[in-house]
Amino acid sequence: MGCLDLSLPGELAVRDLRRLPSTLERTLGGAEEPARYAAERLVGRFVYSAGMGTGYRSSLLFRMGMVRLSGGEVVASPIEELPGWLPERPRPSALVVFSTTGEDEMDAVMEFRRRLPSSPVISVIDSPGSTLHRSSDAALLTAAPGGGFPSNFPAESLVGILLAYKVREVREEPPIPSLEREISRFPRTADEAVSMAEVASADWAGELRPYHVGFVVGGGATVPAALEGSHLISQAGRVFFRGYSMREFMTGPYRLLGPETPLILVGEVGGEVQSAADRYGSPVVRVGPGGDIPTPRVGDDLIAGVVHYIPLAELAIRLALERGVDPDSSLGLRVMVDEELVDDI
Amino acid sequence: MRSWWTIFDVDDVLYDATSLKETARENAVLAMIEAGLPLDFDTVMGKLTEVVSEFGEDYPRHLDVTLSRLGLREDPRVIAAGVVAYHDTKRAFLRPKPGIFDLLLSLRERGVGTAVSTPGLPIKDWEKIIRLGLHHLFEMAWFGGGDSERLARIVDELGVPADRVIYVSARPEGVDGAKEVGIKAIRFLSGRNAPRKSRSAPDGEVSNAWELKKLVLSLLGG
Repeated sequence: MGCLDLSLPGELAVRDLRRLPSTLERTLGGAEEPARYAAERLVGRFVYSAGMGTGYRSSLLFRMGMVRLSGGEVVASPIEELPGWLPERPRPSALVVFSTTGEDEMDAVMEFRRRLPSSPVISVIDSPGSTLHRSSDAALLTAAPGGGFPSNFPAESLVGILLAYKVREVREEPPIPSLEREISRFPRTADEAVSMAEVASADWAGELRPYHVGFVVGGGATVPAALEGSHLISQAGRVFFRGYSMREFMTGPYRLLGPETPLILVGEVGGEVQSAADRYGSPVVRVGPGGDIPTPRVGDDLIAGVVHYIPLAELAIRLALERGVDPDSSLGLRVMVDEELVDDI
Repeated sequence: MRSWWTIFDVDDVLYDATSLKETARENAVLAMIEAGLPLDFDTVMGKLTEVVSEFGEDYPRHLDVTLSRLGLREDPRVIAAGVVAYHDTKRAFLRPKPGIFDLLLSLRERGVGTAVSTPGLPIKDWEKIIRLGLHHLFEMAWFGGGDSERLARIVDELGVPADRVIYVSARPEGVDGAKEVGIKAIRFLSGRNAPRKSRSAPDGEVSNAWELKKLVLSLLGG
């Protein structure tokens, strides 16, 4: 593992984002059957959904999917915190872990297994053959985009929605054909989202260049994308953008808005946030259908929760480049050598 | 012996109960997260709201049940952080609505009896009234039970004709109970019950204490 800088700044990140549709195509290609198998192990159990960083944010969208699609009882938590919070006498449970490396989460997974020996562990994972993969009762493999940036959020989240939908199927609840269609055509939707975001993101990156602190606010299913987007923007551009749900933002952080703190609104965010931005003179960028950085219009809010990640990733790359930072070498983002690059060498 | 009485419900009439409870619960959740609860704000708020509506507002262990329903250990330190934040917010925000003091003093000056009556628990509601600093302005109080039964008992105990009593409530059930026993009813359109309609038409609707004063004085004939 190492980091080779033989490319132009941002070249790998841009390439990986362009490849996202084919990455998602590969992910969905093999996911149907394992998702059904995993879903059978989740029915009737309390589900702990967990991950680290991006994995945690994907687990948030999975939780929303489970609640909406299968009426399941599920809670999402950073995995490193979870073992200490398990109750004395847990209900029949299962753990769903969202992971890129398949190694970092193992301490928590082993503790979960020790406390709840008969509870299945399901992994949504990007590392075939990793310890987590080998020790899971069922695993859904995602195809990662490449060098670690942009993140694996869209593939993990999409598989999470598929898994939640399969739980619904196993419970024999009425199918939702429109959601099935949107899941299977998601690679094309992602392709549209990449094209739509390109020019507007570059323009807005120029506008946002002078700012060092800002907010990214989502509502409902776009909250995980807002949190992930704020993380990418902060890491890639070496700025501080904090992500919030609309509701949490309005409990107090909105008072920090001002002419020096831009606000990125992700998806359908309530008018009270816009009003606060107007009142305090905060620059606003709207991301979503018909927004400043547009996205394709989709029918299902869970799918929208994945789509909105794409313009935010594009904006993160463009903002980094505007600020003279190479997003490919931003600390913690380019975490592994791209195999194709090694082959080229 | 008073010839007229005005009786006040407490929540969303004397103070803005809905905003207070929402803010207090939000602050409780933020404090629990700050104390180490490893969950996102929206999840905890959503579950707490469910628990409050299932167990009722006066249940004393909302936060414990919320953690348990979320599949987590009932950590006393985190629960205490939430309880402290809830009560601190309550103390800070529990203030009479603007115009309420003026209204009560005007009624007293006119010789109109002033009282409180709610379907809630006596100690809980007295705590609110005392914290509002209004307890010396009410001559009588009745709590608990269904609205119509309680209001019928009030009319008996006061010994005045029912149409000489005015009941001010933000709840549609309060209006219906009053109209059932012949009491004049004023609906205070405020808080979470504002969109709900009463079965019986009230004698008037208001949305602030100044409108309330005008309406009460006109019903009193002055």
